[in-house]
Amino acid sequence: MINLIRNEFKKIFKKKTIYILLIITIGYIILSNIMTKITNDYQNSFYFYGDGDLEYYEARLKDLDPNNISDLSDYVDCKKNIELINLAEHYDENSWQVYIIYSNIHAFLNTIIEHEYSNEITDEAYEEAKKSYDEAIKKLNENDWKYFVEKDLETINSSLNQQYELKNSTKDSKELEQINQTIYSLEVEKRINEWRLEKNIDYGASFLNSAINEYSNSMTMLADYTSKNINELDSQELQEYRSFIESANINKYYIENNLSLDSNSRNIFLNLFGNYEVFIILIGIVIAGSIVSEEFNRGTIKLLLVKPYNRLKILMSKFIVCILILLLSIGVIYFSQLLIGGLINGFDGLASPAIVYDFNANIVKEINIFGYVALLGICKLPIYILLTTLAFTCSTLFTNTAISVAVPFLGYIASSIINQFAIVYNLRWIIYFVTPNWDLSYYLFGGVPLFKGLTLAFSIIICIIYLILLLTISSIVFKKRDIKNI
Amino acid sequence: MQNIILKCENLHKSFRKKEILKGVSLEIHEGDILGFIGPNGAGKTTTIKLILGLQKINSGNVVINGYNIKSHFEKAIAKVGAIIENPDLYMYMSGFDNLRLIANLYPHVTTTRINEVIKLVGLEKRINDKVSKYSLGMRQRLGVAQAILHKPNLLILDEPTNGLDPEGIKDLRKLLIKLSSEEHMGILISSHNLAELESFCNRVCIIKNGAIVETSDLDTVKKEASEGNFVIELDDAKRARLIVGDISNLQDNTHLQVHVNKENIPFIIKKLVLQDLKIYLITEDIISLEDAFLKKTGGNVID
Repeated sequence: MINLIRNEFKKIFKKKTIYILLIITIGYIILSNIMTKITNDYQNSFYFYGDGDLEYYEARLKDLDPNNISDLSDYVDCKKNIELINLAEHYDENSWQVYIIYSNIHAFLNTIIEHEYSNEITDEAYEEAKKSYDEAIKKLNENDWKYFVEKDLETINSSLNQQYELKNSTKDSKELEQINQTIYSLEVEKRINEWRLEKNIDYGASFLNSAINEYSNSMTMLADYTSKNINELDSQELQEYRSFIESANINKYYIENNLSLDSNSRNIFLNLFGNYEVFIILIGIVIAGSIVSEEFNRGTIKLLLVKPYNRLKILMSKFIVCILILLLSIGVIYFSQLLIGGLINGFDGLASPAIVYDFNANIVKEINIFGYVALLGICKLPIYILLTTLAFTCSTLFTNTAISVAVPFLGYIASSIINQFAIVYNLRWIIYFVTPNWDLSYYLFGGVPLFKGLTLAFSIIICIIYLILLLTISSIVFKKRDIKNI
Repeated sequence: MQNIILKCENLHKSFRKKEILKGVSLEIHEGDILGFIGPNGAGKTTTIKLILGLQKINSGNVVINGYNIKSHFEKAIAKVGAIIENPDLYMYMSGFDNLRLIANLYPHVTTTRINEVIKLVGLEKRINDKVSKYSLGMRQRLGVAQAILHKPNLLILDEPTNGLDPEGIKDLRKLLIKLSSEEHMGILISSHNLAELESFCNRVCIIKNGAIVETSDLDTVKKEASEGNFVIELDDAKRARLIVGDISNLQDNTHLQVHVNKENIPFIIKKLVLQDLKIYLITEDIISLEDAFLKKTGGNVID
């Protein structure tokens, strides 16, 4: 049997197919790392106004008449945008100043410009806006972002006090709920601003700044769930709910521990199986889909079958080789990404651990990054093995390479649609099908499965049953087959 | 009596109600070269595939070296070498790699043995080229090499002379005769190139429509087929035909074929001489294996 396996390896490695597939895969890995490096600058960056916008507003301004009442608001808007763009040009495009200019200063500027053309703005309001505007510009130049944080905090604190007073005086439950919601979001805002001061995180584009934003978004989304009973959520809603919990906790962990994990090679590596899964599957099914059918098509099957090995041994040695090639391709992809990602985007990010949220213990955990990605791979292995086996079975069944590659590939593409369909129409029997069961990563760190009632043990058993079924079919067909004229 | 290497008993095989083999029996002894002859579609390749376990036997037995192919496949096939239809080779590999691959599947086939076989089939110069660059004749040689690599005692060759040039056929003939006499191999050759087989084998087995028509020594077959055929060369064959009567056949204006016992030849000569015909030559018409074959099978009819 060892001899048969060795021979199968020899046959595969003497052919160009495997090398072409590996070269394409590694080429893609190189390309995607380079692409990430190039687009890196935009990843955490703001985008307010670009190059052409200034010309656009200037051209538009000429068509508008501020004395015409219907044009007025457009005119003010254009003029304001031109001023903002000019103002922002003094600063780096990802600096905190630019963020403040577009998120904070624009309001004052609006009042100032409108005052010029309209009577609706009182002189007092104008004066106040002017004062705030001048102060803000001064702080921009002094690089004093904390001024804006403190000002925000002031406003938040006073609103909070107001809300608490309201809460004490209100008896109406509906209103009370409204107040509680407001207090919840104000508290989130307050915490964020306190973090900015405490951890020294300015508004400029950075990893921690995005962590703050994501934390804020997740917490806002979670506000919707406070009134719902978590146990009554359907599996899809539960997945969403948990993703917000996870995001909120992990981003909080980043902020509190000042973890700036901003590395491209790290990001790509962490999502290795999301990025390169299709190549793993392709290599698996192309090898498995041709390993039997090609022998039939070339007639060499006769050569193999008149050797002193029974047919089952011959078939199983071929299957073992397919699985080994699959594992080999995963290994090649794993290490090529580490190496190529490191060479192109730097190795530094790979030293920090992966951060995950454990739903069992409700804590954030640090895991060795290499172990974490390997663990993900093990959880995804049933997908790859079952698709490879499907290709292998098709190969013995149809002795046609094209069909044997196409069927599992289409199955892979259709699998998420099948799951989606089953969720939408609430088809319970789908839990006995392979697609909701073959991705074990759902169970990681106390995660919930795609369908209620699925357990890790159940999923593993279903996967094994399908594996045995496929292998049995191909064994029977292969054993009974008459070798016709080729 | 030499040892029986291969024994087929009453083999039956049908595909979807169509009976391909209707009870084929044959035997190969040590040192035999058995020519397996039959028209296209008679069941030659099917018989070979049943012997090698490539197709399921409906009824009947194949016993090789004392082991039944159905129940003891691995033992029965261990000392068999074969080429079926075409030499089956991995085109993308070199000739040597192909042999190496086969060698891996048998115990005790060393690199020395591989080189020995390469020399035997005369492929030394091109053995490291890819098989896809080989001519058909070279592939046949490599096919023979892979079949005899593990020193089998039964060699089964389906149409081995296909694509070989006369020189190659001569070499193959020499090689097979050597293998059968020196290594006591039993050899089964099917071929439609009957002129080739004539010089190869000591026994023939004729198959027609899935049944064995005749199994005997090559000489016997030819003798039987040619018995009582004589050709007379004379000046006016047409007139002679009228004199001799129905036992004769006109070949052309100067040749007359007669079918009589040898004892009657002098009477015919006397008759012809008395009629003033000039007789130049009388020969016994020893027909080729091909004619014998056509005679036995009644032509190339597939039903």
